[in-house]
Amino acid sequence: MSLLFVIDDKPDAADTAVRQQEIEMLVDAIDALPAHCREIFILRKLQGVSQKDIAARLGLSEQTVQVQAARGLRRISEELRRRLKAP
Amino acid sequence: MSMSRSTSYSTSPISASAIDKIAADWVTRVDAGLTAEEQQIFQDWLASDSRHADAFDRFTETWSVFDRVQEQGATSAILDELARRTRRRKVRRLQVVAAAAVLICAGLFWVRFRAPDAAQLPIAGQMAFNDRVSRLPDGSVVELKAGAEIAVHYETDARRVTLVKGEAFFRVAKDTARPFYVESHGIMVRAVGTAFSVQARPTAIDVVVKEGAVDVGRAMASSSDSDPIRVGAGQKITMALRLLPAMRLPAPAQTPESGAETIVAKPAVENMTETEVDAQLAWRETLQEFNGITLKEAAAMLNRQNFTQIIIRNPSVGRLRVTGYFRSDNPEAFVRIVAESFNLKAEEQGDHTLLLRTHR
Repeated sequence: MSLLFVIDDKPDAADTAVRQQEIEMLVDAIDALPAHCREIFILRKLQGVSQKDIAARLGLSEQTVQVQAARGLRRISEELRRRLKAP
Repeated sequence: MSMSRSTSYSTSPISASAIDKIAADWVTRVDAGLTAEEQQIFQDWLASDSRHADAFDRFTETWSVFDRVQEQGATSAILDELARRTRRRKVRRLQVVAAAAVLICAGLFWVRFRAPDAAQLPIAGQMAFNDRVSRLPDGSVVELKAGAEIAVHYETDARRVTLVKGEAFFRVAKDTARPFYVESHGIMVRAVGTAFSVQARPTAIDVVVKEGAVDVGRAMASSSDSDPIRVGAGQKITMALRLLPAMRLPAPAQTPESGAETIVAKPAVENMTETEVDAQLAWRETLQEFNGITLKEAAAMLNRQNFTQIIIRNPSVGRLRVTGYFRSDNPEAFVRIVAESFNLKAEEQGDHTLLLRTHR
């Protein structure tokens, strides 16, 4: 079996499993967003593009980008809480 | 649908979901930067209802999950998985509609950017310490490595320190009624009276114990993380950081490849020799150079860094000048050497006071 992550200190099996789980949970939450909202949230929070640059790139107003990012944040937050509360 | 929620908040006409909407809005606006005027409106909103601050904190926590993703180098793993799913969805669609051949593939190309430094939100009731060596209100001493940052918040029943970044060494004053906690990125170190260092790295927290023992665990233990682990003198533990430290994860499902093998989530405690411990803590540079400063100044300097306090009785003694290298963690030795060189009398008063005075 190949190593999933190579970090400066080798994580043990449990840490690797937890990390995999966290990533899946985040991917699920992001993937469940409406397409437009998802695109903006990914640019904003995963690719670190500023609100202004996203607006310019997608031809939207900054206000629209901000509203969509907030919407994404709210949905992701709710999704994570919902999944983590479930037994 | 939201019956139980609206009844519990019946005192106010605004619903929890409306507050959530506004709170999430503020998190993204604060992140993008507020004007002075907006800052004022935001502060007023935050202070006007405790539910506002709660909701704001909750969304800030989720927002910061993605800062941790960046810090812990998990961005590409998430982007790759998202791209894989997008691809899969597209393939499925292609199988149904042949005309879907004209697909916009922009979604498949992920350009990586560095996230800008996340704006640090001020947290109420904290004191920031920037000096290399500081005495905390209870007499505990903290030494900060260059670039390290801590925040201290003492409560009546607990002494709490947050290591924001870097490495810090703590010499904790004994107080069994008020345990001493160091929290760093979701990792909790509990000490009663001991000396240890905590180092925050991008992907893990290292704790090295020089004297006594500490318990190391997660601030919010999840079912896949076991109980706190005891780390004793001469031992080190490395705790991997989590992306979702404030949330309870279910136990990880066993992957088919790993078969019946059980996953034990217990990080190993590493034994170190004294030399290794000292090497790890070499940044503390305990040797202090005094270059002709007055004895009063030298004593004040040592007093800031130790439990044991040096008291100089006579002003004439305080004006004597000292030169040389002294261990900053050993006021007893300093007092002995000074007493011998200047022909003074050194007295111990109680457990933690050293008196220096003239013979008379």
